[in-house]
Amino acid sequence: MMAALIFGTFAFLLIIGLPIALAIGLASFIILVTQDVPLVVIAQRMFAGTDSFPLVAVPFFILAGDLLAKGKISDRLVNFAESFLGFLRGGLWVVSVVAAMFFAGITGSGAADTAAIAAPLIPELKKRNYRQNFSAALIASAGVIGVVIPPSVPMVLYCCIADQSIGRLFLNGFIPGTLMGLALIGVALQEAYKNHYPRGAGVSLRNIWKTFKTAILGLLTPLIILGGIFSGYFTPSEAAAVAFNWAIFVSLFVYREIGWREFFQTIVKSAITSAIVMFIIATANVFGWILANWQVPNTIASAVLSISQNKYIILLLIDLIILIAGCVMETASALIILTPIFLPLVNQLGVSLIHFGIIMVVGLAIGMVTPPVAICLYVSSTISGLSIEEISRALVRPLTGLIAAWLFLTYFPLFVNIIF
Amino acid sequence: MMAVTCFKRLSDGADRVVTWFVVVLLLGLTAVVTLQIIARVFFEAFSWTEELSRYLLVWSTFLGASMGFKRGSHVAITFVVDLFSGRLRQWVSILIHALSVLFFFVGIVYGIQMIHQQVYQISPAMGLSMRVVYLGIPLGFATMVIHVFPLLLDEIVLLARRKE
Repeated sequence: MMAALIFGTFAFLLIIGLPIALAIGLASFIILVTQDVPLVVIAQRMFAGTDSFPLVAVPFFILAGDLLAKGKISDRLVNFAESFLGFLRGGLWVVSVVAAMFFAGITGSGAADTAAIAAPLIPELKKRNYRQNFSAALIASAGVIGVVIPPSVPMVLYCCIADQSIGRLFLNGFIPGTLMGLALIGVALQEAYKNHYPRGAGVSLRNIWKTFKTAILGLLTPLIILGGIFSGYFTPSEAAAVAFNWAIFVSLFVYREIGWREFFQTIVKSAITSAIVMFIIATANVFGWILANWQVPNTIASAVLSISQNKYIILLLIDLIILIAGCVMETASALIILTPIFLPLVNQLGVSLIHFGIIMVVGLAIGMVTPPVAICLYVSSTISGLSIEEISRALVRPLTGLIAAWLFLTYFPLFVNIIF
Repeated sequence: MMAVTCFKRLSDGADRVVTWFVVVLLLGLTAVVTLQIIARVFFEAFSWTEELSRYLLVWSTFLGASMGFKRGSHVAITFVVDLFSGRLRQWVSILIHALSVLFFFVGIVYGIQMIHQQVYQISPAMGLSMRVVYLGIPLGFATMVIHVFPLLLDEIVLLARRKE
């Protein structure tokens, strides 16, 4: 009954188009009023939700990613990837995917990854007569890897909610991200062979070395972030701050591709992006308190378990809900809302919370290309000038590849928990 | 009509101040966390850096969120409302902005109440009064009201004109 009231109010506010943070907050307010709880708890929970050191990583990873996306680092990563993959049939598509995977090691957001790769590659792909809507669909799909290969903002959020080690989830993101990349490369090659695309220029070691040297500062970024975390030198939040310092150093003082004005504008943009996510965290903490207080997640868990005890069927059901949520909601909000609801159920199924973190993050990452709410698709549409409908038509196969990789990760946790 | 222009000017002015302030908060956050690393690795860990960075995050969240409302960049589900026709949509838009302002007032009122409840409490590491720390919340929500209220007023005026 309580669950129906909570979710009913929330769903209504969401559907009429209230910003998600406010829909969560207002639904919580309404529930608290009807239940006669002292309302100051709203302010207290909002404060407690944001008063967290691990969450300091959120603005820093966004700042670092946005700043490095502004400079020409992505161009350099693209050139490097092309030096050893360009020879393939449909090579530039493969390069797009691999460059997105490289940049995923720099940014923690899918939209930034898509933007960074689409900006240099979309015009080049067009010039070389690659099928445009497939290019845009492929780059949008590859951009979602931005949140799977560490660093990753959704992973930070998940770990804060599920009380897991950020470093450990980061480490376990490499194989899933690579698997998604390989699935997309497979799809791209199949498309290129079917349409008899020509091969690109041959590989020369000299060119690989030359492009590697120019790309080295970008390629070093993930090494600094992850090396710092895993050696125990930095906490994840500190590593994120180091990444931002590194981004300032590289873009402002080494490459000097952006001036102070652009620097200021980038900070403002990142500040807003980060505050929007953090504001959802704040109001969702009130919501989470209500859910926990009335034991809603436990009720849902026992209701689901009374229908079926089969781990594989329930995982499929969870995947389905994640996929639908990914279609209609933006990644961070879906993650913040769904994680606490699923946790008791997942615990009772005996699925490790690191494995579930991967299921959740990869599933919601896929949601970044599934319309109607699909941030990576929007970015790719803006940069390519193609409509969402046109890109969507070419999306079927890249999406199938991603979903296949995701289901594989859901059912073969061996590949997720390979590193502890 | 004058009132609407006045509110808009207030909103623009507030946003300029808040934008600068949030940039300073974030650069401050960067400096504090960087200092924390340097101090721990080379010297001795400070006790106050982690606490200060958390409070800077809180302030930048609520003030930064107001900047999001000014620019209309908060994420919402719009594809359902997009199906509505002109008239209905106008009403829904008014409803959304009215509900938003309602929640902002909830944030202001209970944010202030929370401050009132913490007369003597100080933060563990810095000895900062928690009233100062909590102030960021009602301040952020007040800025949100400043930004969204003119939008609401604008829509009501527009609707009233069409009725005439």
